Amino acid sequence: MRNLIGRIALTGALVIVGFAVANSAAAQDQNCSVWLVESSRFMKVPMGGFMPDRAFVPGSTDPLHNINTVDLPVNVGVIKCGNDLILFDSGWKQQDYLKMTGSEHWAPLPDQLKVLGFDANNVTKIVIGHGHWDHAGQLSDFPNAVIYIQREELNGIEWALNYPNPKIAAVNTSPGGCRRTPACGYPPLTVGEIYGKVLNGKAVIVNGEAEILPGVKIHPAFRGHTAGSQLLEVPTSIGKLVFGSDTYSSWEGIRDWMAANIQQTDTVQQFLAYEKCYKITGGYQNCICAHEPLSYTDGYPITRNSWVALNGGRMAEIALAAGEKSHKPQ
Amino acid sequence: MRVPHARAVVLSVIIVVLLAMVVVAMQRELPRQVPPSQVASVETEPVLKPFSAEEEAYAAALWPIHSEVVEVSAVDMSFAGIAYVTEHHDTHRLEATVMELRDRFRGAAEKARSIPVPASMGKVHDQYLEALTLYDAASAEMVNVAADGRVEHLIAAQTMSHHAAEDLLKVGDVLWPGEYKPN
Repeated sequence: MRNLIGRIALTGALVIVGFAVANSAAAQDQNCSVWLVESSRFMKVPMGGFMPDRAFVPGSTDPLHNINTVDLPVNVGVIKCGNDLILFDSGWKQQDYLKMTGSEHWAPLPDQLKVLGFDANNVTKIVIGHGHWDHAGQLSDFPNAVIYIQREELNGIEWALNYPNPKIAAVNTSPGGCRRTPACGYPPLTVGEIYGKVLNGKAVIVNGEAEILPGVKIHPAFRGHTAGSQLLEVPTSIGKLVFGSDTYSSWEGIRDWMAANIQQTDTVQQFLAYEKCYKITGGYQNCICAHEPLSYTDGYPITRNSWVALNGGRMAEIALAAGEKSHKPQ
Repeated sequence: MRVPHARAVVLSVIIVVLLAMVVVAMQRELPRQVPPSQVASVETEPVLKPFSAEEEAYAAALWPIHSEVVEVSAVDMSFAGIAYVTEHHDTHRLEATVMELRDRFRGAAEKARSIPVPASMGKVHDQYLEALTLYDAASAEMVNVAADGRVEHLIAAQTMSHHAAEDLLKVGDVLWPGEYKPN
């Protein structure tokens, strides 16, 4: 009898250990590799325009008010999960136009992926954090990619376009600067490219939460930057990451609880989106920001494993899944 | 006489040593001249040539047409297609929306043609009118879907709109530089 009980206990223990090992392997399989690519850099942006609570005060020695201008990277996430290659945001295209944006270091995203060791044709998914021109461009350069955009984002633009007051409906206002009107930042080319994806059956219009791969989850952050902003949770070997596009414009903003890059933003919703990152990742270190000036330096630790690539644009290797070799040039 | 001379020599040596120490210290402590950064952009800063009074007047006259009619209508056209494909599938509704947009593009073209164009802006003006012609043609192609329901009409129209949208940005880069700011 004792032997029988012993055998049953042993078998049970083995089964439990077996399940634990299997679960652990499965969890490891779900991990994704992650890189950050600087699509371009907007130069000398007034600090007060980026973070109103850190506006420059001439002569001030207060670290909150002694920075006049900042250079803002436009960061794109490159995420490899198994056979899927995902982009979070897709930057913008500077050819012989859009030269006057005050930007430097732009390079075509397919070329940037190539130096990182990837083929643009192998990009399977593009999650658009929001639809502004500097984050949802170059879509036609990824012919096989399916884009994910929130219905709320499209509804927000369409509502603004049909508003009877032309000053509110304007896609653009005032020569020399797009202000913060409701449809500001959505030029015909950008929206047309999103439409092109829809026409070609390469668009998923998301309503709120969505899991696009095991553990890779879209979270809505409506009005966190634009009407239909969204976040992307990604499991990695260094814990969960949350990509935030412009809802997470500034990593220091998330760390210090300060609003940043207010466009069509409800700051209450931006703070709730910050909180979402704290809840999902356990802090602020793993929140991946679109325009953090400290990107690719020790000042923003998760991006410090960086190097300079095409046209002076920078890249960072953030996390590698089991078996994935480093893509950082030696 | 000898003693004072020796003192002078010793004093001179001390001064020279002190000066040398100061030089070395300055070299070590003062910020070094930073060599040109290897990450510096290879692009050159675009230089804006100031507009003449006529050119300013032309850009200012075209702006309300561009900002309040053309760009909004162009985005509306994409939305008409998105709504048709993802929501209502109603060809008559699509046709009604697009015909209204076509009228807006035609009205904008008519107004744009009435603006005095300085000789230096002839090429820009032609490019703008060409974009409006493309949008007009794209509208006509889109409404063909009402006749046979084939989505290929929408794809062909989207290609035309894409070229027109690029033209708008090219013109905008000349007439209203910085039209799109980081956001």
